Amino acid sequence: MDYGIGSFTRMGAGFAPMALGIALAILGVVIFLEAWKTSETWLPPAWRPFLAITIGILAWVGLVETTGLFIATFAQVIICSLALPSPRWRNVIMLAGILAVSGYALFVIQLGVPLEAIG
Amino acid sequence: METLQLLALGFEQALTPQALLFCFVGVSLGTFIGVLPGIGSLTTIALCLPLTFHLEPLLGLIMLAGIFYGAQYGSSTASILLNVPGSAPAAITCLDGYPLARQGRAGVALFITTITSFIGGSFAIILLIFFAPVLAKFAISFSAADYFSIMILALTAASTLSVGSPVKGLAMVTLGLLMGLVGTDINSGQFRFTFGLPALSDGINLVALAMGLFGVAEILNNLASGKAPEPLKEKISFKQMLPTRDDLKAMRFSCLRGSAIGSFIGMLPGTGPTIATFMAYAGEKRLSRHPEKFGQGAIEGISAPEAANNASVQAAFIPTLTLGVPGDAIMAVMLGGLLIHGITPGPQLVTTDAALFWGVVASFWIGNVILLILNLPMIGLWVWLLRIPYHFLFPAVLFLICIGVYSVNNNSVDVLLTLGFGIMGFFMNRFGFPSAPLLLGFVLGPLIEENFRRALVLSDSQLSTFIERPVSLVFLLLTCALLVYSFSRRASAADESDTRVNP
Repeated sequence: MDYGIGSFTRMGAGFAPMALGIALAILGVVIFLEAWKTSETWLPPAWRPFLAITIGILAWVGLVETTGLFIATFAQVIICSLALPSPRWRNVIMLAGILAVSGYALFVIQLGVPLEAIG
Repeated sequence: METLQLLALGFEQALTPQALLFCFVGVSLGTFIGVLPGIGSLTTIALCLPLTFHLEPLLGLIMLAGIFYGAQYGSSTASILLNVPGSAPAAITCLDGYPLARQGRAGVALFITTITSFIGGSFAIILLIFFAPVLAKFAISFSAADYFSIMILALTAASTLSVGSPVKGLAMVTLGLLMGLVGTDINSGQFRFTFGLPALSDGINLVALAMGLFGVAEILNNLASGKAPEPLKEKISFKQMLPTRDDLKAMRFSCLRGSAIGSFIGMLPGTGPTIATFMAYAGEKRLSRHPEKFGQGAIEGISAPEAANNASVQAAFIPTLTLGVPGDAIMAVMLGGLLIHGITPGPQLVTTDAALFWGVVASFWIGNVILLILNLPMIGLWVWLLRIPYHFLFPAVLFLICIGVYSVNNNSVDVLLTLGFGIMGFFMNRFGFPSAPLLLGFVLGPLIEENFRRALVLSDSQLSTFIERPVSLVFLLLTCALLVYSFSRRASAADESDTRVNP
């Protein structure tokens, strides 16, 4: 495929990406130079909550179309709750149950989203 | 009066039982989610947006407007009671709202917020009713070059007038513009930046982007920085909400001044509630005979900025609806919502689709009234919601984000994108890159490209068309002035001290 830049009369599909890309590159250099002058150190985030939330959402995406909404929701809520230092599992399971049932009622039954409860 | 006749027509449409029902549902839902701690108004709107897609345009818009008001109000309730501002304007309300809450006068603070929001909103709606048709008439003569320049001004204002580095703001706008190009190029039919994914051929899903940058990123921020909001301890009853005579006296004029400032700022392209609330607060402090009381729980310190906040978000609908140019990220999401409903805002909306336009305007006001009668008696319920601990909230919100994004296109790739944008937004926050300009750039990207292209075709590819047309020239000059101003202000601020506020 050809992403031509074209002329001003007949702008090709590549014109705007090219112009914006150049602008962004220049701004990037300016930000780099600004940051060079200051001496801020960066604090790494707390990895446990970061990973728990990331993996929890990935689990929902991976499971929802194969094993159904219920299992995906339980997996998501349980994995995301690992973001906390000491999750109270009884509450977490209850929350997952409430969310799965009410999510099914609202989105699948009411709004017609084509998902199975259990796949 | 032609305007009043059209307005009556609008009320006729917005007062059907069905319309009232959806307005009510929207307001309740918006307040319900908006009040949950740690969820800002933008996340709330993005979260509720898919629920309106299944309705016919007018009903969908009425519900969307209700969600919009509810979300604004709910977030300010949460920020006053918990002192966790979900947005920059709410941070101003916290300055005096939280001290009032600490003095056991949280009820009064909430009452004042409710009333002043209503007055500010109504003030701006009246302005919208009389000013929007005039602006639309004027804007109908705007050419593509003029639109291009207005959008450039709006983007520049939104990225440089906020807190933080103007360069970073501009970089985020540019990135947003680039992300707006993803999908099929309408002129050549070629796929751009789709990486071979069919899910991207219609472009990045707005709901996925907004939920990622704001919803997921907020949660990551709260948890991974150890700043999870604490649940509320105290109780508030309706009786505690009643203000004293002195409170009402303090509120009276400050609220009108706030409304006026808010309406004016809100109408300008690219200037949102952040600037309006800040200016209203600073103005009251300067006017007051007791400036030392500000920050200690001054009534004027919440009534003026809250009125300004609601007036400005309401007045921001004037450029959004008549020009199709949103002023801030929330308006950008609203504009995206309109586009999804098949409505293209612009001068022709006001003239040719008058029934729809006036129906929406009328429902704005009805939404405000419903908000007022819903909130005063139901304050107990909203306060109860603030007692939900965060460890229940965040998995629930993440679930709503997943299924909400999924439901837009019944597509799980969108949920993956949301996660990606969430991680991106999280690191952007940590490094001081603002998310709001990115979202605005994203919505305006295709419009800017199209108007630039059309302007050049119309002028036989003469770039000078942008400075030969007077309207376009004025907006470009304003853009230059704004750039010079914000960079010189930044330079002088950097000399004094590096004051940093969280975006």
